[in-house]
Amino acid sequence: MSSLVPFHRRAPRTPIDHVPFSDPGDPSLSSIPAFLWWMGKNQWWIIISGTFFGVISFVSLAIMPKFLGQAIQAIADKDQTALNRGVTTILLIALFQPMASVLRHRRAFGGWVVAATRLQQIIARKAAALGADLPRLVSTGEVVSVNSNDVERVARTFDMMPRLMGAILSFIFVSVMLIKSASTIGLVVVLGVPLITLGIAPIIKPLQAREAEQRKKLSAASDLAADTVAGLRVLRGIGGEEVFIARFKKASQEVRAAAVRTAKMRSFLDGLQILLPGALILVVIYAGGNLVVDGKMKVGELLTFYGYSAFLVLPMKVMTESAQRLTSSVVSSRRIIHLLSITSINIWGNNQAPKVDGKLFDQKSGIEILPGEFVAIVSDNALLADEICDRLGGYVDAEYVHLDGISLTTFTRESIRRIIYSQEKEPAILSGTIGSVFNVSHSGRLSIDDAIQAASMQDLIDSLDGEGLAAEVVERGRTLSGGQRQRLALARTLYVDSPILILDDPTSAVDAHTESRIAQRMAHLRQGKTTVIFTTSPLILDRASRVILLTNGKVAEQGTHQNLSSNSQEYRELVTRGS
Amino acid sequence: MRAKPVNQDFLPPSAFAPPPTWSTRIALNFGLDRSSSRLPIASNKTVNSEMFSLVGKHRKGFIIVALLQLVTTLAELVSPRVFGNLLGDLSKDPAQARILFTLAIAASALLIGAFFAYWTRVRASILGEFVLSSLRERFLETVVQLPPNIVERAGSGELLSRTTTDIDHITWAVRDAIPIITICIISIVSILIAIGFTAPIFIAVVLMAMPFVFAITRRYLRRSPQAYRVVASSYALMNSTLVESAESGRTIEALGLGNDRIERSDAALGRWIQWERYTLRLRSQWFPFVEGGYIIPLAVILLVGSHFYLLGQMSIAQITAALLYSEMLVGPLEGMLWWIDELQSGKASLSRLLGVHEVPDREVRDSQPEGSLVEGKDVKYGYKDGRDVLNGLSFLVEPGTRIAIVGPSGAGKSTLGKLLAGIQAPRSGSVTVGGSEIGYLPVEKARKHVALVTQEHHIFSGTLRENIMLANPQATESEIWEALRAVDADIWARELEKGLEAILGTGGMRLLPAQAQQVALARLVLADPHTLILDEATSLMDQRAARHLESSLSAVLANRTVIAIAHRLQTAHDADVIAVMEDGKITEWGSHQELMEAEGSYADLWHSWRDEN
Repeated sequence: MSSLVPFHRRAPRTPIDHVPFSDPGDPSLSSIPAFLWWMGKNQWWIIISGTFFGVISFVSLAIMPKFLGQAIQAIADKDQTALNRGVTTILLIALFQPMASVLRHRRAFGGWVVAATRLQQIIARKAAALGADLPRLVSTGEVVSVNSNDVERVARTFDMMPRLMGAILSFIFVSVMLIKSASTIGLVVVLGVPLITLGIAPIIKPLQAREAEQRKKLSAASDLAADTVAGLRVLRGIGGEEVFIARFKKASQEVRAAAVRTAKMRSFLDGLQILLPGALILVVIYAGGNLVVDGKMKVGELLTFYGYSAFLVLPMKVMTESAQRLTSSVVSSRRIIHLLSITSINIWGNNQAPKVDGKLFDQKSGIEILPGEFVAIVSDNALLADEICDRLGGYVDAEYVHLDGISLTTFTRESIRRIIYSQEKEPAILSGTIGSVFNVSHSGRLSIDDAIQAASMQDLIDSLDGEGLAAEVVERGRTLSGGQRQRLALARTLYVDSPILILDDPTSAVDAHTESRIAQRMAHLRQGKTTVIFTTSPLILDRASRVILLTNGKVAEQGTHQNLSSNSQEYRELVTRGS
Repeated sequence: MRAKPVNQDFLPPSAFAPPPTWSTRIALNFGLDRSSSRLPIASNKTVNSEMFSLVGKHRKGFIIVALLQLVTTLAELVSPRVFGNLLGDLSKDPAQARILFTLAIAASALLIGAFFAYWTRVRASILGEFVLSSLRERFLETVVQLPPNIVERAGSGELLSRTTTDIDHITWAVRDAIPIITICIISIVSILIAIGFTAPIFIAVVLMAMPFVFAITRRYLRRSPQAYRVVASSYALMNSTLVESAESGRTIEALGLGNDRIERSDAALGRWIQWERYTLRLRSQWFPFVEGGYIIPLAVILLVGSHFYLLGQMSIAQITAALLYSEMLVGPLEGMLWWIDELQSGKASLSRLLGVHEVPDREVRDSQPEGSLVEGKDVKYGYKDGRDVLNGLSFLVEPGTRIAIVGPSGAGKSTLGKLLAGIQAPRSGSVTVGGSEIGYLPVEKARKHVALVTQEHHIFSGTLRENIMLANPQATESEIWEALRAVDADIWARELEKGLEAILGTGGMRLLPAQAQQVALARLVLADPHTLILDEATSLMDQRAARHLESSLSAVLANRTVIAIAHRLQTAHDADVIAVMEDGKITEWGSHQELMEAEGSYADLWHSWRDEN
């Protein structure tokens, strides 16, 4: 495999050596042209130099027919010097045209990579800045589709630039040459080629419609396949495979039918693209032939004319394609701008929150937490409990929550995050090693080991084949069981050791043995620090210094677990187990 | 003249394909691979033979395409020839030149050529689409028949990426590559023959550059597919980094990991760019030579032509025709090289698709279970060599018993559940249902007897009715409602605007996790096996709902054997027998009463849980 290793020696310089950027910059989002201009401005050199080589490579191709014609004429005239000159020129073109062409490609490609990189970096930074608000405001699918499809489309505009410029200039060059040597035929060709392109245009729209239809069908079929595979365990366990195969086959055949419909139209277009330029060339031959008969044109020139008119199809094709790319890049720019213009849900102030905890008060529910308390909250409605957990953490409706009488939103977001840590019901485990899960800012009071012990996670560490903290966790912690994920997240949260900690049902997937251990160790670890736990587990409720009972999201009763158990029927129903 | 410059500024589609290959060898070598592939990947040999057999199977289609293309190319060959003749005549004696005659021939050739080009392409895409659709359908058919233990082990991620990205990926390659390569080869051969008819010496001239072009192309093709594969997977890595950031926004913000995420995505970008730089180098070492290889023969044709013209052995017509023919070669040659390249990267995906067909079948020892006695004898099982999760369990479950398995995490409860459901067979010892080893029964048979529902649930996109009926396609309306009632789901199901016809899943209504668990259980009720394994099947419901559901479910499941793995002791309390598992062994076994009297670990747990100490 060693021959495949591309990095064993220093790679030569490329146009993309300077990316990724240390700072991708701040794009202008006021309008689509401003946005695209900002992008272009930031990579003007690669565009200019790419355009330079693009023009050279196109024009040197465009000029070929001239020398071929001269050479043929030289042969007809038995003029050896002229022939040698022609052949030498062609050989020179053979040498330089590919070089110009590859240099153009390197810059075009570079332009694409640089633009794509910059946009992806900007999007990654936007995602980081939005943080918790991102999943609330935009679906993951949307983010990913912008990050891949739309970024690609916009970036491809820059890839297209050198060829577009080459195409435009070579078109002008050939037009001038044609009109100069035979104005009538020249005009026929110069006007004919764009007319042909326009003539084909009416088919493009319906073709694109059919293609869109095909893509839609295809993505429906692949969604269906993905859905089937995602639920494969269910299917294998309980049956129904035939139904799903039949569904997929139907979808797949619909794709096929749509694809064939598209192909028919595309083939028609292909046929036209052979027929129409061919017809134009016939006109050229007819007119040119007559000029030769009249002695107004030489044989070699006729060949040159033939070559020129055939060549013109190419720049036209590039221009049409560029127009299409530009259109789609405008649509994509709009989507990128939209994503980048999203602002956070809460409007935060500039004050720094106090470094130590204070009294936490939620206007909406009436919950009040004093510094250093270990409070458990029982809610009759699990959904409302999630919402209050978010609110107390300052993620939504943060203005209703007060810290020592001051609304959370008067402080900066960062300073609130430092003092209040609110763990949602299903906290994410990011991919990496188990050890890297603990690679977070923390108070420094506790060691990773302390946290692992408190979350009763030692058995999990031990079961990792001696790899311990170095063992890998795949994305979303899929390799771990629900209970293991929960304990890992809890260990991480305890390790952070935030002054105010809010936990939403942190032991719901943990067995009773373990839960009991966790309850005891966590209470010990959090001694003297503010801790709020949403739970219905008596094992935890019993450890709380105070229990709040919420009905309909409002404080209904408070007290110790013991006295709520004996005094409140509602409370008993919610937490008491056994008959 | 059709001097076509390289249009390879278009990137190969592989560069945009999301995650194909975590598992190709090269990805492994560069540390891109984290989870080694748990599904086989077909060898190159298999892929090649599969492609040949594809062509063989659709022989008729290929022959039609080939014949149509032959006519197309022949028509295309006419006009350079007559144009060459015209130039020749014009250079000799302009007055004698038959311009209109030439035009008439060229025009008819053009018409025929354009029409046949249209027809060829239509046939070629019909053929390509047909091959493609049968390939993807066959793949999915195999996937849904995979042995359950393979599905468990592979995880849905790996299978999903094969189902979505790899299929997308081969769409290009299979649909277009094979027909287009066929077309190109036919064109090349016909043009060469036409050159031979014009003047045999020119064949040598045109072929002169060929060995060189082929050598340099081969060199490129040996390196490029792997490179594109890694490019694709590193591009995928960038996307999955962002997916993670987007999904875990809350956790990232809470932990202050924003900068860490930016660093991660920059690192992924850097890796991708590094590979793109390599592919750029590969192309830079390939294109110029190939392109130069097209132009040089033109010069040589002129030189050789002039030599023979001066000797009076060749006409202007022949030289012109040879020039035009040689330019005609560029298109198909370039097309062929391009699509061979495309085919290479498509082959990587094809090898992953075909790999699925190589999964060994589940070892089947068919027998007819009699009765529904569930028995385990000295059951040992481990996921890794030398580390058993289950250390010699023996148990006997009488038909109709309701058993609860409790114990700390990692005790092997879920593993036992999988063994009981026949998803895995024990490493040693046996798990039998009605005397048959459940782990070796054919899947369809095994699930008639035992079914497993875990906390992992999936709602398929489709109606609520479809989601429930998959367990029993013959179920009647009233049976469905009865099943829904048994799992307490009838209340919300009735409130749905469209009732059973409500569209669920991707793009439809989203059920809450608790509701999804109810649907999973409703399926189980409809499937109606005599033994049910419930592994934390109500864990996502809140306490009260779970308790209520369990009691209404037990009414429906009377006379069925129910083995419930639970962390809620309530479930245990209601069971006939409680099995306490610790460290892969059953340490306590008996009714609630018996275990309480035994004052073992269950009793301790119960006391603390009931808050009685």
